[in-house]
Amino acid sequence: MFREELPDQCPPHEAVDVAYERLYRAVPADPPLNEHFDSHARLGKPKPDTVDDCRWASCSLFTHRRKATNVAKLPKLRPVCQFVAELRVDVGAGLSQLRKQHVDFWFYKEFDPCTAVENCSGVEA
Amino acid sequence: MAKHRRSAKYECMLLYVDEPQLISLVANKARFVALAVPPADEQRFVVTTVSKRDWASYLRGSIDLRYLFTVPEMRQTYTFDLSSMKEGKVMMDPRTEPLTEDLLPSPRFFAENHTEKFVEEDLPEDVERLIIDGEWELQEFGQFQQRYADIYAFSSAIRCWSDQDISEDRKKSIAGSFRGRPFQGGFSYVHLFKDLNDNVPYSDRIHLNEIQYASPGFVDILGVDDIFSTVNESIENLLANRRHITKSYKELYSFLSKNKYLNLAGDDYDPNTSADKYIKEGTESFAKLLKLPDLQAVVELSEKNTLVTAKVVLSYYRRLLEATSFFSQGRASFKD
Repeated sequence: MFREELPDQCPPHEAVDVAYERLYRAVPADPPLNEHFDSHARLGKPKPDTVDDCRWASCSLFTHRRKATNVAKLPKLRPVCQFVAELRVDVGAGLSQLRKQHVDFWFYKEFDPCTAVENCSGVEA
Repeated sequence: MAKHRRSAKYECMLLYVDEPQLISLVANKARFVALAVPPADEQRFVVTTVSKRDWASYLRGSIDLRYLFTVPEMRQTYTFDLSSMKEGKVMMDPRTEPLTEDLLPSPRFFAENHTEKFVEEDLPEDVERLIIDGEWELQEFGQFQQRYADIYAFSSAIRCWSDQDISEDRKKSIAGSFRGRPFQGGFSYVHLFKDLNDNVPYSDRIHLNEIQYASPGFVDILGVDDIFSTVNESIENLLANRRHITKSYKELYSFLSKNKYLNLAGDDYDPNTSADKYIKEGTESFAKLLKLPDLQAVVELSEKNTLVTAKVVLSYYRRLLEATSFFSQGRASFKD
């Protein structure tokens, strides 16, 4: 059902299937590839103890371009993420949890993030 | 520069983007902010110590993240690997070299970008709307806000001092704002009010929520209703009784001036002087006219030093007068 294999009890019961008129993600390329929306769990990165398994299997997006741009200027993301992709996400894309303009997204298997990208521009733009 | 390895306890995550990017650590009373750095396939963080004051400024958006890592002179920097955390603790290695540009955040990353809620981040929810009208110079607007904030911070401090439910730490901070100052000249009062502003807990502190500059426009301030009420009553009282209050101020001020008490440090004041009774009664009478929320709290915070109490009350009045002048000019009001 989901794009990635998820742990038990994941997504959390608070996560909902809702539409977002605009979501933004810092990405390494223009246009972005589907793998640029992979979670760190899928990329096989070791998970710190401070993050739960479910969140580790999610994809981070923002509801405001400015926030996606600002985080892309932090040291760990800056060398990698030089673009911000703008997505339109309709109901049926997956389950998500919104907190402080940040969205943890667990995409459904059928959802293709790249087709949802409507625009992509440089971080400085 | 830090010289020794140091252990710190993981407190909370502040920013999460696919992985932790910014976290808060504590050790005893010290606070550290840790920022994720390359390489991408590791969990390396650089860390800086953060003073209580800078932390409060950062949380309210007065300074950016880069400031914490580059400006404070007494800062110490470390590194650690989050994957080595054991039982919620990390061992941090001191950095002897300054942080290079590739390890620093770009300018203008403010706390509003955090994705996680920090426990002290809860803003007060009460809204006070002040109506503004007429013409304002930019610096006048800043001056009005500052004086309103001074009165608010003073009222908050006095209220907390007398509240049995307020922690001893908070009371110590308030007392620290009053004590150890000579009160011989303007700087003591400037620093007193600056400290009082800094010491208002984040959850009670006033925040500018919205401004609409028009004739009339408005300023919406977030804060605590009870403190807003105290501030507004003080302003309304001064508007209604300005002549009597000003006369009382001048009498007390003139007495202190003529008898060279204005330039006398609080610690050098002799409580056995014959003037003590006059100053004490003059202050009580002035505070009563001023409807000062709690003179006894000011007396206690001034360590029962009659001269310091008088000077603090006079300085409170001067700030109240400045804030009130915008209301008496018709450029600020509480209602449409």
